[in-house]
Amino acid sequence: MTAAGKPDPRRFPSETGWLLALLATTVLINAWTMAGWLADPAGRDDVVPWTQMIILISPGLALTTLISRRRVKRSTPLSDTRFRDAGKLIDELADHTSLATKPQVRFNKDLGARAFVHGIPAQPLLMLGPELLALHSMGGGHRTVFEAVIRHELAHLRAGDLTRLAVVTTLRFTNAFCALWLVAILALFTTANMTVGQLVIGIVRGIGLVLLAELIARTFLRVREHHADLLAAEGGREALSAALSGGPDVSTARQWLRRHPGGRERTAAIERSTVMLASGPGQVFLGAATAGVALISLQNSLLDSDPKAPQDMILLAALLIGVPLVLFTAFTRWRTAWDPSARRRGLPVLFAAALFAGLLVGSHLSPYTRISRRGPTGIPLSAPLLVWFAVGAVALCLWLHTLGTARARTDPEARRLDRFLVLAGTCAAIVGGWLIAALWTWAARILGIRIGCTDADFADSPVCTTGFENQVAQSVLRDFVHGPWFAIVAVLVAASLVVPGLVARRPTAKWQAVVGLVAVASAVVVAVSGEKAKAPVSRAEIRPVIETAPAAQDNLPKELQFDCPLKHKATPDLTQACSTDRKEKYALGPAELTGADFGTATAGPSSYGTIEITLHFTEAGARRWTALTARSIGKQLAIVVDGAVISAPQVRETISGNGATLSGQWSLEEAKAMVAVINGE
Amino acid sequence: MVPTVRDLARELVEVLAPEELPTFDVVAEPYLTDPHRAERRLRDHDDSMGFGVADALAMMTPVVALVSGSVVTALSDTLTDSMRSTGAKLLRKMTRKKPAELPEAASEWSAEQLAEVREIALKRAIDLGMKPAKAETLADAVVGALVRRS
Repeated sequence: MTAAGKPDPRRFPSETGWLLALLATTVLINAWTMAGWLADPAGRDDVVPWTQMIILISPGLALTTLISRRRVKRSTPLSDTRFRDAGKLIDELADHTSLATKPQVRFNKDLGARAFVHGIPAQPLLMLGPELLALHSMGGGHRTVFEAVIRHELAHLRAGDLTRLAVVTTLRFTNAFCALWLVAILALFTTANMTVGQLVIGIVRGIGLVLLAELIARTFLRVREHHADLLAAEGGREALSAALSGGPDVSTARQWLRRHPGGRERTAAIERSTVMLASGPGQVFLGAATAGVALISLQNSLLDSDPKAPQDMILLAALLIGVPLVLFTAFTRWRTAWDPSARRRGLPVLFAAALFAGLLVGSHLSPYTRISRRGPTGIPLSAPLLVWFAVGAVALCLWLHTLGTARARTDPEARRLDRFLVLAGTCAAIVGGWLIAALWTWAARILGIRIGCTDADFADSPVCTTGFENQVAQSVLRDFVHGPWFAIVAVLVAASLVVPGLVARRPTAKWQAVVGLVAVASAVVVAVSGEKAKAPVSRAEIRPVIETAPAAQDNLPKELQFDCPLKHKATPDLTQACSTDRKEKYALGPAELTGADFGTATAGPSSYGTIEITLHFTEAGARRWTALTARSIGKQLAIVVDGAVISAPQVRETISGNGATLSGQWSLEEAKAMVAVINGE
Repeated sequence: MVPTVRDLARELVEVLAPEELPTFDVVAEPYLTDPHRAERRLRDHDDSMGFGVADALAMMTPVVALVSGSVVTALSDTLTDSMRSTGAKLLRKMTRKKPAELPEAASEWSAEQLAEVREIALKRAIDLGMKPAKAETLADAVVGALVRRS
């Protein structure tokens, strides 16, 4: 029941499902990776650790059952005690609550003033202590308070909380067992091949992940208490408020560790229906931290499943985690938009801080991935990247805040909430998905290069010695900002801010024309940016050298009897070419690698003081390059750009990998100019 | 004479919260038989799917029973000071045994002893979460009960 003109909190998407999903995700990732480690500590085989998973989960299930049985054993049916009169009232209240199955009411002399429900949905149990039952005997106001408590407990049953409680309890025990296994495994590894530093990091990650799951579980339980209060208040708000008013005021910090909110918070939620049910930024932090953990683990699994397309897998992982995270943030933020007491100026920034911090912390908590074994994991601590993560989080939360508050102003009773959630939620999924995908791709590329540079074979490569972050940023810019996706995002953001205002006005012909113009302009922007976004294709080719000789040499073989052109020109059937300085002549075979096989080339000084150009191949290009070098050992390969040979190295062995380094007598400016040509800029 | 904890507690409930008398035995039982365990449970009540604010519902009987226990222990310590060695007292505290058979006490309590008992009762009641005004009333009632008995 809500006051007139105020929205019913239950119209909003409940955080219950989200929190349960967060808890399950955190615990199951923890358990799955732990099971994988137990099944195959060396990580050599692709073992699916179902047996180990059962070993980790079954103690939790067994303990949940044991605790339930112990509680029953320690109690007696209420009808066997002197408080049997209270049983009749409880029966009446249960009838009034329309429960599918009435609970068996039991008495435990050690429970004091406590009451709780447990058991299974088919056989629910309501446990009561003597002090609470004494309130019934005392009559008057005491009995009203007793009724309020019973209504609250019956509300838990009506809302189906027993099933949820069983799942949460099992997950919490599984979480604790994973922590115990972690300690044991770390102890074993300390003596084997783990340094003290690695041990400390492992323990901190383990504790962090266990703590995260426990915090989510307690947040979930607190949210359920609020929901039970709202249901119980339908039977009498005053009595419930009276029962809660004497409850302890719990500090914000302690609140996180409790299963019940403080009395003041609960009373406020009942009396002012617009007070939403739990700390928004706190929930966003937990959601973002879980997303950070899941992002690393999911990406790891996807990379294992298809190692040939790493960029696609990184993007897929970012979208699969990023879209739900943004929706979770959006729904949490929008819930508070209808609460006048939550309209504080800094709230969007607080949400953004929670989103940013949660994602950063969570990504570093993912403990046992393939990546973490090889090197650093999580969002790299790179200043420009972190700044953009923070800027992205603030921009996203400000936008979501603007959408929510604007809607709350035009629809204060949230009568058309469903339509808003569908439209705004779709926009949030697209915009947020793009943002998270761009930022995570940026992070993953930096992380990938950093991991590669820890390998001794690549440590001296120009990429590792001259810095790469600017180039990575540029590549992300090219992939995510100069594309049609960005144009769609920009149009959606603009439209979401402008259109609701226009629709709220009277739809005059003038406004319809404006909306039409905006739509046409948007379509043009999308089309133009899509055209612009076509990534430049490299103009480089690699061709086998059939014959070569200095241009000034007498008696040149027949294949080399041609004049070097003053201006080089690329042709598909190129068979004759000269070096860029026209001092060497080459007879060439057909192109083995073409522009489509090249990624972004870079230039920089080598450790020998010369200037190097590093060519990067696409995945298909890398495969062709490896095959070409394998069958060209002892022969020369020409790197041809715009019809001129810029280098013609001799192959000494099969070269695998996704890049090749060319060295020559170039200045840095010349090399950069050449790189620009190779990159097709 | 020194009353038993049960008697003192019942007398106090009779004065301070007579409506709780019908359920005194069943409610006070855990606090009289194992006060340490019962007190721990009194404070730790954050059950999953519980009501969560048992403090707010709490009756006077539990606090009265626990305060009575502290008062009687203090009184018996005072009386047996001359007879009991420090080691025996320590052993009793460690084993949490109830005071042994108490000797027939002096028929009157001195003003200092009563003031000390009042202080103990007041401190204990506040420590158990009782509001100061209510705790003062309880401490006064404890003194009143002792004076009546003497």
